[in-house]
Amino acid sequence: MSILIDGRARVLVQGITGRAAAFHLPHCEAYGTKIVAGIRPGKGGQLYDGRIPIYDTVVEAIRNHSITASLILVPAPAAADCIWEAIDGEVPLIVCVTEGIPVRDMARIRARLRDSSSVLVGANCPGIITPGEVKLGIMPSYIHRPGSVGVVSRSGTLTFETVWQLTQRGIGQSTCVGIGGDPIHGLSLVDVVRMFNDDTKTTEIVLVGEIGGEEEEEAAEFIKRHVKKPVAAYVAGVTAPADRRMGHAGAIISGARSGAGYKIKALEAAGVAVARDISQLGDVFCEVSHMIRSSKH
Amino acid sequence: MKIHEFQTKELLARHGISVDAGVVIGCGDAAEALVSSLGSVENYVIKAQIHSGGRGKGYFADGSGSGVQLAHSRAEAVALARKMLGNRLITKQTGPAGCCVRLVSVGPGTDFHREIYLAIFMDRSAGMPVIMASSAGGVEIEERPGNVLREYVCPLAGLQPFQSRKLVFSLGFESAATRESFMAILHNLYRLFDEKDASLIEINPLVETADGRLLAIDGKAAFDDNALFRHPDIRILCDLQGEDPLEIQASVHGVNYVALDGNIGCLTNGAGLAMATMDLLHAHGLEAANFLDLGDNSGPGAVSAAVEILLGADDLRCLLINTFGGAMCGDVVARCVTDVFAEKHVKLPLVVRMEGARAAEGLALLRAEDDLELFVAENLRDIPQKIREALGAQ
Repeated sequence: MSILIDGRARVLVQGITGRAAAFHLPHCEAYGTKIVAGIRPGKGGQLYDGRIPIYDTVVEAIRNHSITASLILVPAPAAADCIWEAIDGEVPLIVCVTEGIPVRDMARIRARLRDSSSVLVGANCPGIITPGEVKLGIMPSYIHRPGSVGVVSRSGTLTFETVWQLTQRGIGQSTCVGIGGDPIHGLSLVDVVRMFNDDTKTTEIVLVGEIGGEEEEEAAEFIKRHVKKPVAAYVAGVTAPADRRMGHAGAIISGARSGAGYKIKALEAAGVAVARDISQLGDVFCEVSHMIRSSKH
Repeated sequence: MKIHEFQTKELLARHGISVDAGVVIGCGDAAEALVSSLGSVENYVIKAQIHSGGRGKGYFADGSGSGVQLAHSRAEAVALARKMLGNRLITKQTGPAGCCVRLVSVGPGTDFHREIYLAIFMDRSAGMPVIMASSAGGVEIEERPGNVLREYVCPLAGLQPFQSRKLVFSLGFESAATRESFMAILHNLYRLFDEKDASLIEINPLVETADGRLLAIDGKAAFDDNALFRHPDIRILCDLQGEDPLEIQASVHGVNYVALDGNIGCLTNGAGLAMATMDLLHAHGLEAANFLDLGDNSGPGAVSAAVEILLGADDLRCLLINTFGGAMCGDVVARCVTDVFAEKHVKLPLVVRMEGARAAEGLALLRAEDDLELFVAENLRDIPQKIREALGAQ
């Protein structure tokens, strides 16, 4: 088992004829992801790579295929509309990689998601991967390994970094989810931690946070109350200056609570082992994981 | 993107919110004529126009007064305005270097009997705009005593009349006419916030005059950078004076760059890895010269520009490449670095740690360059040691 997605996923790609799709889709397919249809308004009726049918609208694709997930790879000005269209089509899982969507559009999407059954990952994220089964995103494939550690992160490259440290130690992952670096987005850290906690296949959790917002604090509160599985974490931005946007639209310290120090304290108070720098995360994980495993004997 | 106070007031006025009168004076302007255009005035308020807050409690580098001053005659107002122009104003938000004042506003002092705080900003945790209001205006939000009213607005439905009523009755206006004007201000302010993709609009204070009128006499606004593509009228309000020239250059190329105080230049991809690299260096007694996030989709042009921007920093002692590419290919990064180094005859030690897409190809390219003083870190943990070796070799 895994969370959110497994090898049976039947995937729609919105923006299938674009530059991002041209680069990433071959890697997703090589990993075993089943892409069944694509969307490109104006190119309905054509085929992608001579095989995959392209439709003008999501509703047409849904009429012709059983679709369980959509991967959105379109430029920022069009992305919010694509997410909205996928929600309207009741696509169960929507992954939006696009960076640069206006915050107002995301606020409206989040309100729209409340009375919908769709789950949104992102935007501004690397996507989601269940190693050995399916990849819906832009992460390098070779760094993953099937296993039982759930990884959730607000940062793309730090997800790669974390996964790679685990894999190099022979530790595999159940599912890895990049929730994205925008201030308002779909699944939160807490949402994903809850899913990992409920997933019988996931035995440990690694959480990667960063400055800005209060999601790490909320995750810490949830972990304190509900999570018995070992959790290791890292929070980026201990040395980030206040009031400066650090790349991600959401990575900005405004007030004491959004700084890294406060988040680290909250996580530690919840029993999470927090790595002091990113290079230590793999070792810190091994320590808590080993400690809990041996204490069960 | 932040805008100046006077620009905020112009926007408010255009959206039907009354503001006090005033003129804006730049360095080359005829200050007397502009101030005279205000007519016969008893008291003048002179305010430095910089993007940082805390002007009233700030001070000028030459020790003279704060960024908000009062004058009792036209001549005194002109003199104060001239003194502010070109001077560096230091506030708790500018840092010790301060910010050079290039524009000042001069307006008549307003008599009022009450100050209100009113703001709308995007609350990221709630995922929706929130209106904040308080009957204790005129002071910084952290220092405000008493209750601050908060009203969350559904981004799909917009501000509802009952929400405005809740605020207006809680704030306790005496006359029905003033209540009506406040309702109109709320409506107009929310419309401005929503239409123009603002991330913050603050009126502090909104004053109630003796005759019951409501006037915005100070304001602050910031807009979502991601939405500027659909607001050319807001984009033109951008004033880059006082911003770091390297940061401006970076933004032109779509690269996220923030100048820092250290001497290790960092070429990284991804905001998280860029921050984690700064943190890693700091944990080992080294300091990054910058935060730099190439993004994962940058082409060779942006990467080369990023390398040149890094080399533009003062006192650089070493350049660190730390990339983990999803779409960003190691060989592209390597080629851009070697090209810029060769073209500009750069003699700086280079520490490299590459992982992800085409990392092996990138490292091979760098190793093939005889002229490079190259130190390859096998993994993250190896980076501080390799930097020390690089610094020692200088």
